[in-house]
Amino acid sequence: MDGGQPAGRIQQLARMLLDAPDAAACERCLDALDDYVAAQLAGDDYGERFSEVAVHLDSCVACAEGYALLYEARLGDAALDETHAPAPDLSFLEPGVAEPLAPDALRARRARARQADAIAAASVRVGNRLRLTLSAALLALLPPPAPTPALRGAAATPFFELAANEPDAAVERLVLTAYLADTPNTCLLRVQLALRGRALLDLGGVAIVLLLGDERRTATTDAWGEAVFADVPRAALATAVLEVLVDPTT
Amino acid sequence: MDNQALYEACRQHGSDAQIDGFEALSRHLYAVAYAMLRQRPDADLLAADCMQLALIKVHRSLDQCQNPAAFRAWAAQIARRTVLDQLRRPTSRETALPDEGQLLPQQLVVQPPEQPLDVRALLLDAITSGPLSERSQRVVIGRFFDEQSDELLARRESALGDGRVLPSHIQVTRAKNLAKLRGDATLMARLHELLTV
Repeated sequence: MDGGQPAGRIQQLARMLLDAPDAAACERCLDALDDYVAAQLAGDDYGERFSEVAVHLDSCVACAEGYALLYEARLGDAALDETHAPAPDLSFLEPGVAEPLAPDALRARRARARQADAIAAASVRVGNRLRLTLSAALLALLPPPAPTPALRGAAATPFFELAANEPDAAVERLVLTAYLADTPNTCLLRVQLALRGRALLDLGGVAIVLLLGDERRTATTDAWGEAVFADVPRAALATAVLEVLVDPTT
Repeated sequence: MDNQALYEACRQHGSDAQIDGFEALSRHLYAVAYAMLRQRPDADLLAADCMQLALIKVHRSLDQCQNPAAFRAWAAQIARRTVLDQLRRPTSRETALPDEGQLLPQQLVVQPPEQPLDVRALLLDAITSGPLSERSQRVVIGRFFDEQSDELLARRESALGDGRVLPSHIQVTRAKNLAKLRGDATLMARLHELLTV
């Protein structure tokens, strides 16, 4: 300390003591704090470049403490440990979702939505029939289902399951499941129908047509709404067309 | 994933790439927040809260990122500001930074001078005669009377022992001691009187 110090700093100190900082000054300080610390760590003349921040930090303990946290954290930026982060809640990426969504749950949700959109796009009513056109893109969206009882009793291994919910006014639900067959390169295709206005044991007699290129096969649902196509070439599935002959007006 | 790719991924609404992007970004922002909060007993929880809030802010502000090549740095800045804002909430103030020295909220007692003082003499007397520690006095005087930088003051204090002193320690110490000076009504009245004459 000597006697030659400029009066400006002393005046600044006096003014700082008399003028209590307000919330707006804190906001301006916090807005600039990151750049202030970056300049300080870079060896720039931060006090000159950010004079308002420098003055404010002397007059506001809360901002000074925030600055200290920031400064000390950025000193150790190179040693950031990214391995211990908890799973984020990504529900903010999905408008209208209120419950938390971890990344995996959101992926599953979006996969289901993409499947539903693709199935809806592949389903069209043509006269008295609901037509479902398969494609490689559609099949690729379907997740491998868990093993389920096929044909009410026999255990089998499904390799895809396509479920169309309310594809049109007549059909409440259409589930198409493909099972590995004993014969290589073939599969067993099971169709399970639920129809609007018809109870479970009243689902028999609905004609199901399977078009495999030039080949046309027909089956009829039983009382449970189930129809089966055996020995279907797996290679033909990606271009197969399934038609359900049910009139929405009846 | 580089910054540009991460930025583009986060902008792909409805895609799995967007999920991957925000998941990757969340790890970075958590680390940034935790680095600021690691001294606190609730660092894990608070860092997770800040990460979550910062992710939402980043998502809402993606269009304002003017330099995608520095996307992580831009998002980290948002996370750091989020931490500062969270710490200023009333419930967070209970476990603020450890003290830098004597910080009793006692009022300084500046003896009324027998002779009229100028501003400089009044302040110097308040700083040196009050209950400020020697380090606190050096920190305040160094800044305002000797125009020394915090870096220089930190080096000097470090050289005096008691471990490494950072410029940030100097800043917090000074702010706290100035706050104590501000709490002295007699000093404030004298200052006001001198400055308005």
